[in-house]
Amino acid sequence: MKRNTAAARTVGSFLVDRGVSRRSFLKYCIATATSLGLSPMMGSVMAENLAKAKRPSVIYLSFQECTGCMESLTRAFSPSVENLILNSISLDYNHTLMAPSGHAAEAAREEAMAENYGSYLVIVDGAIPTGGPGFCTVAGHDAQDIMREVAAGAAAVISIGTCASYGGIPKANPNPTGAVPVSEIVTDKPVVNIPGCPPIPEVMAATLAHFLSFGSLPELDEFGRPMAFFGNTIHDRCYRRPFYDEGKFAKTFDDEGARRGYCLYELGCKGPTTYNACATVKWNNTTSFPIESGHGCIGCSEPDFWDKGSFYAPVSAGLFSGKEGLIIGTVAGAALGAGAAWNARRKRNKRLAEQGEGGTS
Amino acid sequence: MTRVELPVRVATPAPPPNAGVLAILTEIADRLQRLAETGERSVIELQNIPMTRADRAALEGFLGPGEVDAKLDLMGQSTVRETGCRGVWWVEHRNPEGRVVSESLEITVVPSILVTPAEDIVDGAVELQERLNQWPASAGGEQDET
Repeated sequence: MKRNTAAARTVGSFLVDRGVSRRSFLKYCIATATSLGLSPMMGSVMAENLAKAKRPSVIYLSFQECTGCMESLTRAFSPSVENLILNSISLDYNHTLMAPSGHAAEAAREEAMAENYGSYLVIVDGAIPTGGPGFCTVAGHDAQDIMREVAAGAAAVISIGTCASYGGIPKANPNPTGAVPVSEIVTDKPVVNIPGCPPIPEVMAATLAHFLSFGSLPELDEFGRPMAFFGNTIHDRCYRRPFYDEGKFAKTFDDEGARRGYCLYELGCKGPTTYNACATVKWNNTTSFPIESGHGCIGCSEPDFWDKGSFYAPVSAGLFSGKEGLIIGTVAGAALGAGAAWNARRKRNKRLAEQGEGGTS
Repeated sequence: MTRVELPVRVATPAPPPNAGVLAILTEIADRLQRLAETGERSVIELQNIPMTRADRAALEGFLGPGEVDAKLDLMGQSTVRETGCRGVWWVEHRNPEGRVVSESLEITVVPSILVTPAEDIVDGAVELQERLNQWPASAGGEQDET
């Protein structure tokens, strides 16, 4: 009964109780609308809708995962509105965080599903094994069965992290458990992927805010990722990009070029082929992102990143099929990166065009 | 009174803007016209428009400074400045770490972030009445002798 009362409360009242002024909330919504590629005018609409939105019932399922995604979402630093939005959900089931265990925990999930059937949100981290029963079970039930049962009454499913989005490391060659992403199990519900190892919490908060404000998921790309955050490559937005354009590259991690902040392309940076918002949203309270800390991007938000060769081998056009790739693959230095980036974009555009022709968006 | 002391600001001619900035200025002029005629307010988001630092400076220089410069402490600082083109406001929001999270031009009578939310007015009225009701007790009958 107590939960009913909590679930009936709105996101707005939850935030006001925690000292967020209405103007601060409006400001957050304006910034979120902007980050989602919406007009700032939509910030006011978002603020109005989000303030009235009921705190959503959320069932959080964890399968083949390392809990790094949850660490990313819960290890928040400052009391920002983003963090409060993440906290505003009514988290009715999460076997890592919840106090009950065993039958009591499963009963909480079933109760939340029954009370909110058709309207609850499902957040999933981890891949789902299909190679045989028993690879991943919770309370004696197989991961596939749990996923299907819980998704049946969901309004939408949010796949958090690369494992839930694409299979990630559990699916890495030779994929001994037959791991698949959530989207291969759940085919009749809206599924949004927020990949990354781990994913960026602000992207999760903005996606949640969009869903609660407008009742729909934001525009997604061909891999089911929110376009606003995954529309550009790390390379496109990297502060080291001017060095790349000048052909200035670090050759080792401790040479003069590295100290001067030259481009890390030759050290294996996957920025040219990786779509994510690290370079703009950044990490750890906007402290930095991997490239800013001196290491190349490892492409963790892309499908099968673990099987795409060494993290320390330059992105080569040879990674991509097609005649252009093979030709460009014979050229050294900056031209290699340009070829790879161009090829990745060409393939992406082609996929988008094909999807457009197929009537999906 | 010398010319320097006169409360008159002499506008310095801004350098001619490039094509990109000119396009934004033309858009602003169109929207300002609509605001004047129909009251329709609008926003131009600046963060998603690729501009060099020089372009931004040219835009800011062309619009010029206005009469209002408001600072708001909203879990990170926000600034709201009316430009020299009255009705065109430059609005910038920063997060608690100081990073700009939104920068836009609002073509409006007053930017929405400055307007007191209706619920806050209701809350404010209630709180003020409560304080007034408690006042005689808390003041202890002392009179202000100034």
